[in-house]
Amino acid sequence: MKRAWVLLYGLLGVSCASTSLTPFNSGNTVVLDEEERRLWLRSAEEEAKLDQSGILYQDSTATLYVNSVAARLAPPAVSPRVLRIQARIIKNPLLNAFAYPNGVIYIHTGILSKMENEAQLAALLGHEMSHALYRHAMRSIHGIQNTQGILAALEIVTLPLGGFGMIASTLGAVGGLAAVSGYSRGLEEQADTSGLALMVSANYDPSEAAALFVHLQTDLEEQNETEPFLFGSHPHLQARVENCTELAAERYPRAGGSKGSAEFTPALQMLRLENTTFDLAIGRFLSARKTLTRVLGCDPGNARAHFLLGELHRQRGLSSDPDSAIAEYRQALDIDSTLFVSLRSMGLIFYKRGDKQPALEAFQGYLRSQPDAADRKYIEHYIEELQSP
Amino acid sequence: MKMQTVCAIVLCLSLAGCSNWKSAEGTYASQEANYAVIFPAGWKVALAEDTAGVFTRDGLALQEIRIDRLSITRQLPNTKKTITPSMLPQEVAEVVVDDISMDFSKGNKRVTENVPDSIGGRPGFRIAFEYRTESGLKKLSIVRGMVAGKSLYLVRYDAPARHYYAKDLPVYEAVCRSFRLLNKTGV
Repeated sequence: MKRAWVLLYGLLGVSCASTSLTPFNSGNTVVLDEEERRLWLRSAEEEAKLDQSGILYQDSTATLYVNSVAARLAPPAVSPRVLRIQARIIKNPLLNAFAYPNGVIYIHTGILSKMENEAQLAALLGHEMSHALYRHAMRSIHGIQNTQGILAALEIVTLPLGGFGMIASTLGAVGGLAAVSGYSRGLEEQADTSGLALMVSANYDPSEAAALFVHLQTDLEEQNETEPFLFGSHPHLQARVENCTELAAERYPRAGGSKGSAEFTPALQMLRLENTTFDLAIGRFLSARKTLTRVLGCDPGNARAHFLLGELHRQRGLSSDPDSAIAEYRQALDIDSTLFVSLRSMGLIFYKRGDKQPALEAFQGYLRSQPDAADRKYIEHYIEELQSP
Repeated sequence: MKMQTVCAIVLCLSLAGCSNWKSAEGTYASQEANYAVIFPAGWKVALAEDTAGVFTRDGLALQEIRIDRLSITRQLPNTKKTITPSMLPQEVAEVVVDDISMDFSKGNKRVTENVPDSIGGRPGFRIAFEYRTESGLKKLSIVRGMVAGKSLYLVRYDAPARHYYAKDLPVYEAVCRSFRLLNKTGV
């Protein structure tokens, strides 16, 4: 498999070194040749497949907000009729973002929920947007006789990532190129340079680009695991940190700029909670805990965050966890007495401990308030057992 | 290449593979995985490994019954969570559902049922879910599972929603009823 990557990188490297294509933001008219039109067509097909696969995050608050930041960054010289910059969010806890050649940017909930401010979101969007503006996908395959062959080869290479990485196979070849194999070092550096310029033009603090990548690196190190996508790769993040730090110091030593609007935290709050459920499902308790601590830091009365913290303790199963879980469920119910699922989870802990009466009360309370609960049969079974002499 | 040509090649390749499949008819016992089940006539063993047995009648794309014995100390493919012997069947089912929901090779996943059940005379769970393959084919899956000793046993049936799922569901139910552990501790 390594040899396949080397071969592809070789081919892509040779091609992009000898290619010069007018960027979309140059002010000149860009005309797509047949090869690039085919690439866009392929991108549209892959996007349609992704959009129909049920993995898109549907909450309009977060999606509209991310798109508003993208719109603020988009260069005015680029007509939406030529390159329509648009951001879509994928429900996935892994660190990933990538752009299709036609300007559609996909961002995982995992990377969004790790960001600290709007300027960091702008840094990521600026970087990805620049890949589309500078036609990096086309530059990577331009000049290679058999474009379709290269795309097919990429598809094969992106397939066997296993486990969490299986999403790479649903991205298709163009998405896989952008999200998994990435572009040459030179093109990634150009995306850094352009991304920072877009940030500065939109009055964002360019130092937040390096801050984002450092933050992601720290997160990966804490998780101590390998992720399949570029933004989950230590060398890629290290290169972004070094390049963005150097660029910001050289080109924008006194840029200042803002960390973004206060809208950032509330607009992405639901998304963070949703991503926590994915982290819990994957079993990344540390990541879930960090996110929930952040959510509760700015919204201590968030009942759902308390419930999820309870779930974290219940599912993690350390010796002190049951008591911590009960405390969180109680807090969730104090804040929102309709969060009945807390009763179910409390019941499970009491039941396992042998605390029959509290378990019975919790289960009965849960079924009284949720008669159509999906897990009704489990709960009825517990109640029956608890009531038997 | 035309779709018909592709289909013909795929069919030829799958049939070529089928020729080596042994019959599973009657009692099929796996000493390594510590279980025995009964299959009706026409069913074949597509894969027999220490921890997994895969069975079909017409081909894996059309219907598949898969029996796994997994060590509870090992993680499932799509989640880092592990199972402990003290877990309730509902909690084990929760981990299995998490594993299903984090399987990104399956699109439009939806768990339609998660209820207590028993298999091999032990309390367990039954999870039913639907999903679409990468090519857009809608499939239905049902999995029964239970923990015995340090092993998690999963008996799963998977088939295209249209026509095939309903057709062989009774076979799956009969296979589950016949499922028994050879060594009762399950280890």
